[in-house]
Amino acid sequence: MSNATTVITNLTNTSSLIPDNVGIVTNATNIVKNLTNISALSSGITETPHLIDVIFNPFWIIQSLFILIFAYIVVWLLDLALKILSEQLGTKRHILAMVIPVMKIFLYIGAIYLIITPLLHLGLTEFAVFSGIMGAGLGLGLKDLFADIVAGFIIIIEKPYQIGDKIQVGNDYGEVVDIGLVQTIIITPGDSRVSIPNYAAISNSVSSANAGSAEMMVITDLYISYDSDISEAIRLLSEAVITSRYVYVSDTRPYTILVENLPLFRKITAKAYVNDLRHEFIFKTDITKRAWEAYQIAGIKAPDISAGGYCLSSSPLI
Amino acid sequence: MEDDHPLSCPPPTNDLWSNEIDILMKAIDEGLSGKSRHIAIISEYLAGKEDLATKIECGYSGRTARIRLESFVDDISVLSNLPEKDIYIIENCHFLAQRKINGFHIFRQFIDLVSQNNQIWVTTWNIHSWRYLSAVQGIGSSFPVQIIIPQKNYEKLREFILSQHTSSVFYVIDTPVPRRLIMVRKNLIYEIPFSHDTYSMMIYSIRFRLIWAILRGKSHEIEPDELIFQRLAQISNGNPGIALHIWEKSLDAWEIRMSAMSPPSLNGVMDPDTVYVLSLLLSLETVSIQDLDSVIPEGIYLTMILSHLEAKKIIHIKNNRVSIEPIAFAGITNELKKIRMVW
Repeated sequence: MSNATTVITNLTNTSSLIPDNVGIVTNATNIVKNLTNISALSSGITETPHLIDVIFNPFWIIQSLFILIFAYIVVWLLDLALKILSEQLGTKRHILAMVIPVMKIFLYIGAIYLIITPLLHLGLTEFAVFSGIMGAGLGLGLKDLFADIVAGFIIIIEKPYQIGDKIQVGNDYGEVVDIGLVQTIIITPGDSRVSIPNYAAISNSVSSANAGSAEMMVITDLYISYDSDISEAIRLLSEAVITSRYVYVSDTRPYTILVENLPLFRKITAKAYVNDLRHEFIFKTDITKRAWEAYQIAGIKAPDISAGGYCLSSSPLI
Repeated sequence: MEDDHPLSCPPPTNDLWSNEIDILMKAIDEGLSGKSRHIAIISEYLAGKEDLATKIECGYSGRTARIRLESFVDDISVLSNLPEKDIYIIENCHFLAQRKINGFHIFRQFIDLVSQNNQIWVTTWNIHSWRYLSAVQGIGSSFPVQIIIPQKNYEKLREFILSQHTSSVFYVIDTPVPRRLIMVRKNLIYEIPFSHDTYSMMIYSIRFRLIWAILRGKSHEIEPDELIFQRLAQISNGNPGIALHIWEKSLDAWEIRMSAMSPPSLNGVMDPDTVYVLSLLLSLETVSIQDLDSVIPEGIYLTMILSHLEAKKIIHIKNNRVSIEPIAFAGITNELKKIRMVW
């Protein structure tokens, strides 16, 4: 009977606080306290800590900060150690590198769990209120951050790319060096460090050139005139490919030479895998340089670009 | 090229290659009875392909012609004008192809020659060259019988090495035992039920006694001979020829010390140019400097790299020919495989 009276009193207090313009924080505090009392009374629990008491408890704040800093240092150290170890594996480095983002997520989840554990001791109603406040916060200001974190989980689970892959997101192309909770970091061929929000990475189309392998296909185009010996040009280009010190050929990683007749010249394309994606550009340069040296000796000519455009000087168009 | 060499047949008791010899002899007998049986014997440097070639020469005396290639071949007539015999043994066939543009014409002529010929062609290849040529030229289809000489475990190596040395040897563990020795690589062979095939699997087992001894600082008390041979197996990658070379070089009168079996450091030699030179040396085994120079791309300073490698005791140069020091062999092979410079 007395419990019911207290509930009514509390409800009355709650309603009486609403039109009062003392201050929105004070009101919110009182509302939470009253709701806590209601939930405690209705469930028969003698005493649970107040939400505000927990959140504004200096010990909880210091503890949370300490946990976050500790988690950050552990993540940083493990990240560094795993990256060094993965580099020791040469072309198998992706195997270890894919553990890094998973490790990060687990450690940060653990840290968050430790931080919110005191809140979990609150009553159900209080927790609902806390969740509501958090939801409002996310809805208003932290929406993008939350979207990036969720996207980070999706990237780790779905693996559209991994650390070590060469990816293209929008206009940015480079090697993925880190997948964080919020952003993915790539290093471009020009050695620039680009941070891509995780949400942008999953909401846009992402092309991964190697998809978790060390090798990746490199496409090299050469242009020759129509009066050049095409068979010899194909042979020389294939030999330039297979004798490159950066090439990787296997049953599942074959090389291909394609020829395309264009109006004013022929395009010969070599598609071959580089042994390590970090040699992508040097591989392409190596093929182009040596193929052209061989072409010059064999009398295979580039299209003549005299007369202000691509045209042939010595042979009719076929 | 070398075709006049004294024939010394290995003793029949040496059964290090018994499985391979059985396959080889069976294939040759089938070939002699009319089936097309061209054979490729494939192994690492010094791993035993020469022994198998000698075994054939001894087993089919008078019916074989044997040629050992020592440098790149620039004229196929060396191989097309062989005396009329039933079996041709061509050693070091990796010298038929050069890894450069226009470097495969002799190799293709050789494949044509082998395909059009009724004799049995027994060829030996370096394993890295073979894998490369299989990938880029599809060489495997020309040689239906391929015998890849496997790595040997330390028990086999021990048996093989001790069979060469009849005198007593003292084993001395005079340096801290390398931590890597706590893991021992073993080759388990299973016979697949209802078939005559076997399946071999490499496993690692942990030596808890050694871990305990290391922790107590008493690792030298753990069977020194066992540790020495395990170390030998490790730094030779299970290659008997390499292991024997290291053994002979480390043996001081009647004593062998762990400290004498330290491979040279590879620090400072893993730059792209040096690595490529090393990959060619692994693939060509022993090669003249001129031949090596002919396949080196422009921009690589071969003389400088060779002198640097020689100073670090990673290669040795003798009579203008270069080869990798046996003690550095396993380390280089493992590093180069890791970065896919050899396949």
